[in-house]
Amino acid sequence: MDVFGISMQELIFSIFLPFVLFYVLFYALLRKSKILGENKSLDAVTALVFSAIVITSMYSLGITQYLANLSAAVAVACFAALFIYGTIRMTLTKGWEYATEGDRKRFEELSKKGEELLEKLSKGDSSALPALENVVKELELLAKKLKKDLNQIEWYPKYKEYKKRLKEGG
Amino acid sequence: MFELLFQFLFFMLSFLLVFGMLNKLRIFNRNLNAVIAFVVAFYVISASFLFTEDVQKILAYFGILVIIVLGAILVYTSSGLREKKRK
Repeated sequence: MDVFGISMQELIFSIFLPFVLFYVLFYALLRKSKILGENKSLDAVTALVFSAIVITSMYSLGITQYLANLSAAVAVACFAALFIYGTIRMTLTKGWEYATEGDRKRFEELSKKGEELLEKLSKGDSSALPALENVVKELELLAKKLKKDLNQIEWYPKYKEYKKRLKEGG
Repeated sequence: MFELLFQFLFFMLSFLLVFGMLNKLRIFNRNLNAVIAFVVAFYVISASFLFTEDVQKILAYFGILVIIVLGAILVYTSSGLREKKRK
């Protein structure tokens, strides 16, 4: 079906919908900027005329037939830009917070090592203390990353108690 | 037909812009503003044959620019950069 020699599909997708889009955009722009004052109807009519002028100009130059393709390209470009930006941002800001399998293994290793060192310490080997402190420091970081409670490890409360006594001078 | 429509729309646009500006400036009263805007719009339309093609080209490319800018604004607001700037 043709209207004024223009096919219905072209009329809707290349003329009517872009017209509505431009109308809404210009109307919002005029309302926001208040270039023509507070008069709503004046803004509405100006936006209507301006969008109609833009669409007729585009139609007379034959650009309207590319509008659908252009809009689709812009939409895809927007999606791609958002996806790339989101991925980069997440990697840079939150990426280091995610635990890996290596972190889990290291946690297990350190908890075993800590147990051994605490045993040595309780037997009177005070040289094990600096190594144990390093292990605990690393464990605390890993526990935060893995969202684990260090008090669940058997020897950790004992170590804390030992440190407390050491501070008090016992 | 489109030429005629374009001339009419151009007349209307000139009239509305001049009328709106004059109303905002409040130099004359409303009726006088309308007459002045009408006359100016006629002057514009009488000289429009000099620049119709150029204006059509500019407006057409302006339309394309609007679509691209809209996409850029969409990306800017969706990415959260706007919220970050507000904080």
